[in-house]
Amino acid sequence: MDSASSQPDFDYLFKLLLIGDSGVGKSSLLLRFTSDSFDDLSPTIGVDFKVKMVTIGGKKLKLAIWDTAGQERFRTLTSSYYRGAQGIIMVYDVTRRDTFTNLSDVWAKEIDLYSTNQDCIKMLVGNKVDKESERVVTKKEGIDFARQYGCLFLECSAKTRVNVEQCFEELVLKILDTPSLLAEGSAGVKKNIFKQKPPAPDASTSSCC
Amino acid sequence: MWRGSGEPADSFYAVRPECSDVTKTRFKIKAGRTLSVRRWHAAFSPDGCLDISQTLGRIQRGGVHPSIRGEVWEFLLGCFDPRSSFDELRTTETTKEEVGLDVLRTDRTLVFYEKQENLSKLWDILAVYAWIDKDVGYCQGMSDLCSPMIILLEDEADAFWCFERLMRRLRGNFRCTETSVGVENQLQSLASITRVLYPKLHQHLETLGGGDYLFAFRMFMVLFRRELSFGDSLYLWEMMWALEYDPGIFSMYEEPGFTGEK
Repeated sequence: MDSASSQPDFDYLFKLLLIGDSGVGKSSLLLRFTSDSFDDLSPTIGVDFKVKMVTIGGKKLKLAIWDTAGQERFRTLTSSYYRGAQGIIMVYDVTRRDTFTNLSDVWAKEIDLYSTNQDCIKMLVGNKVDKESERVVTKKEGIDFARQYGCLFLECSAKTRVNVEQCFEELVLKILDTPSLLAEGSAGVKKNIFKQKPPAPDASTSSCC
Repeated sequence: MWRGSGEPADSFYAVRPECSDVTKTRFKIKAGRTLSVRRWHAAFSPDGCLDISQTLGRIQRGGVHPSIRGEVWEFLLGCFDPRSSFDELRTTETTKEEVGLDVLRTDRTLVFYEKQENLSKLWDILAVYAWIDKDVGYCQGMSDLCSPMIILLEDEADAFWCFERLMRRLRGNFRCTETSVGVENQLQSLASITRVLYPKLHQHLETLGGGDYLFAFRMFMVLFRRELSFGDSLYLWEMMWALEYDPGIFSMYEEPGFTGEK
């Protein structure tokens, strides 16, 4: 992690969040995006995160991407990570119907409850399109859901890398298009990507050792 | 008991053709006597509760249709609360699905888990554990704790007991309430200890916004299995257990009502 310097090497810092049922491929999407690789990954315990520097729309961006565990009992923990996110990616598996129905039953409600950001950009991602023969959720269903909930939408495959970069790119472009989110992410605003809670009153004089 | 005609049930339990000296099945599926699929489903109320008394008479007189025997036996033998609803049964199913998803994602870099039978052992143990420890059930992370036992102990039954004993120490971490995961108690202890022993480190973490010590969540949940290599984490575990070894450990576990939590 780079320390706080007076000259940040990016224009904006955005906090993104990956949510969705267990096993839909949230961590795999993130690994494909940040390291362009695909592996047998272990289930995420609690919350994980990765940072990626990208240049999108002519801006140098630092993306802090939080990856959450899908299992229900971790939700008390993961709910605190919605705070302050500029973008939220809802992932489902096109070969498992439950993971799609849970978007409206569970995940969209979680966003309404915990996201503190009115303008936060939501993106719906249907993963595992490489398993076309096992597909049970059609593309049209995804489009309809996205329209109803006002999200962006893409289908992708972390395995074959189809559309993975586009997922993050479209999301970030939309964030860059939203003035209130842009103001939050501006590098001039002193902030800490680890901060989940409002800063402690004595944190103003802090300087890293 | 055997009187009257009916549909034979032999096809459900086929006998090897070369075996001739086998006792013939006299049980017949009899309309109006044997508990049928339709009757069984009718015994569940619209909200999914079973009134087993509606079925007992049938079972006493004509047995259970072989196609539903398994699920009926589960209720007859008391696997489920007879007042349990479809919802509770669905929870059981969900647990098994969760286990299934994670078994396929546990320690897949190890050659050991290229064998289907070893994956099956992992599934068996986690599913049975979730069954006997209903308060905790199955929680992600348990497969990381269970996997070494299966590798170290060839016999699945031995592996199960080893895992069960380990869970006695750790189950509190996995127990969840509406507002927190059990392991958060440990995080608070870690914070208290660090504040006293390494105040500078604690201050630094606070400054970074990590004063809640959530960064250590996974370390406690799976005892550093994700931070260290497979071999190193086993080394760490045995050192830990040796350090905290209690000579009374065996008899302590045998005491009735012992819950094993610290």
